[in-house]
Amino acid sequence: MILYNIIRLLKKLPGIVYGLTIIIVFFSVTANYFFTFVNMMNILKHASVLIMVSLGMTLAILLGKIDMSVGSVMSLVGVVTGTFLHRGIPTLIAICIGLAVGCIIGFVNGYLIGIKRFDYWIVTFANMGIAQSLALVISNGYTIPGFDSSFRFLGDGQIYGVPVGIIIAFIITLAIMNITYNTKYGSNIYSVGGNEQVARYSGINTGDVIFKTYLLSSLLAGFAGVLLISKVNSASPIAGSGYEFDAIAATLIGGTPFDGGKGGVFGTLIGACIIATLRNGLNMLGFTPPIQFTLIGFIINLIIIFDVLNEKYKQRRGGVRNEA
Amino acid sequence: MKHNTVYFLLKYARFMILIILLLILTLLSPAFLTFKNITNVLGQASLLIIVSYGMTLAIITKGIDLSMGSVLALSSCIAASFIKSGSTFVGIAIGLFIGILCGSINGIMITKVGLTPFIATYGMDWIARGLAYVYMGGTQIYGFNEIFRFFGSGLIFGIPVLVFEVLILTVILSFITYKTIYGRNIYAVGSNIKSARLSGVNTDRIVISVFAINGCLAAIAGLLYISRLNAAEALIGIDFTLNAIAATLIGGTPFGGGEGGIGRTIVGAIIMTFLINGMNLLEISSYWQTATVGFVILLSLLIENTTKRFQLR
Repeated sequence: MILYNIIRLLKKLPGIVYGLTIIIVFFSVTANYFFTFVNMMNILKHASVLIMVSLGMTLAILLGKIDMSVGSVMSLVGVVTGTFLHRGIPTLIAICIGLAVGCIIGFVNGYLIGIKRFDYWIVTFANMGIAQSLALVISNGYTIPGFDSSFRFLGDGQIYGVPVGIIIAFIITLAIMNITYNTKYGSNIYSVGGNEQVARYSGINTGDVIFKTYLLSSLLAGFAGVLLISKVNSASPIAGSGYEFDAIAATLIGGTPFDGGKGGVFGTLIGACIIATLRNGLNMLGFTPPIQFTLIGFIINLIIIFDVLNEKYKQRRGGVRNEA
Repeated sequence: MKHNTVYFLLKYARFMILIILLLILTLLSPAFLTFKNITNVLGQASLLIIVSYGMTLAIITKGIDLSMGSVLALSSCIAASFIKSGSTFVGIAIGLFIGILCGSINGIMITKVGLTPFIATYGMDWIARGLAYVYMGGTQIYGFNEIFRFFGSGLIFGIPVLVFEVLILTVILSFITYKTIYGRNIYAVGSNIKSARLSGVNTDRIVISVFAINGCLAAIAGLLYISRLNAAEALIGIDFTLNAIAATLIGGTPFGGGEGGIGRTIVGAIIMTFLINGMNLLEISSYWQTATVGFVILLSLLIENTTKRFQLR
């Protein structure tokens, strides 16, 4: 009877949880120091940063759009916060100023895409360049080193052995889950992602929904940026570059396809853990950075291709073809 | 009447931007309007023009190619090792082949697998850059032979050879896009892929070939770049992609696809190069460059949007 219940519970779990388990088992067998407490904590700390960015990306992808600027917004917010912290401004105010600067990028994204109806790819890509450049200008290209211990507690501290970062990430995930499932705004996101035109005709202010989502995405990226500089104890102007690709991958692995209107936030949590484990595991196996770089690029590409093919197959089996 | 004037202004906005830019730079910097600086800028512009041509073709098909900068680096790095060992023309051929290969893979991913052009080429961007790093292992290859260096840094009557090479490429590409059935099909695919397919165009083949041409152009630009620089490393060409997008859009090829062309992109690429050169002469920190390019992209999107509204009226 108990066994039956366990089997039923296991069947309910989404497939990606097994994926994560397989990856962990694989690295535990192949890499010596992978399955240790310290390393697991490292992975969780890295995952907490990735989870935050991926949440924003997931919201954008649920809309059927994308936000390429998140990585650069992370760097920008990190650099701004770091600069203000070094000027001796109280931690909380410095973080708020950083997040506000990040939100400006989100505001521009949201205004141009939601209200002006520009193409989302090119707008967020241009803003990716702008945010990256501003981060370099503000820091003058240098890395800002060393913060005080109260700020470091955010990304590096532990409560009863559990990293603070992962607790914050988990709380924010729950909050975003609540927003997407239980509020009007949340269901509007799904409607706009499912079919923007239909949503507009049924009386949803689509521009407003898109605007808010891009703002939220930048805010979450900003949180990730703050957490990242607190974790590594320095603010590099290029710290966040590449995170947008990991966030896209985490979202897709988590079961939110590019079409929009399908999937959800919880899958992204697991997806981000998978990517973080993969990066850590390859590191432990002793691959040099360039090879790691290429290998992860390949793996992420394979996952994305698999995802798209799978979607195509499902459509064909259902007798629905959206192309002539 | 008023709306005619506005329309006229918007239509020729990019020429006015170029002229105003030249005037401002001439007034602000005495070093700008000198023979040495102008030939130097033309040489730089040539490389950007070549990459922008590829980007323009991709944007006309309603796609985009984010991998051009990395394909440029990968193909030129591998070619460089062959050229350094003496076999110049084998090196050039291998470089071009790698460019075409990367481009074709992009095209196949987009058409046969069904990825969005953005994702497919962004993935290729990471892979090509990673492979370039792995191949070079953090080292540089420098000091090429005279024959190879001539292509990128030689002068004919005081004018860079690069300018002539760009002119040849322009003639070839203009002929292909404006005068052949294949060229018309590229525009057809861009303006409405479904109706193009239904009227018997093999759309998959068109898209794959356009991306193959793209890769080839990236490789040509890469070879000329290392020939001009006299060195090759895995890092080169990072900012080419964003600059090429900006050049294409400010030149007047809209992001919607099916419109625009090679001729417009030359103006755009020259504007971009003068802008960057001017910023260097005025000693503005190079960190501002990417932001400027980003602003140019957003500005040209605004111009495009406004023009379209006036056309609809």
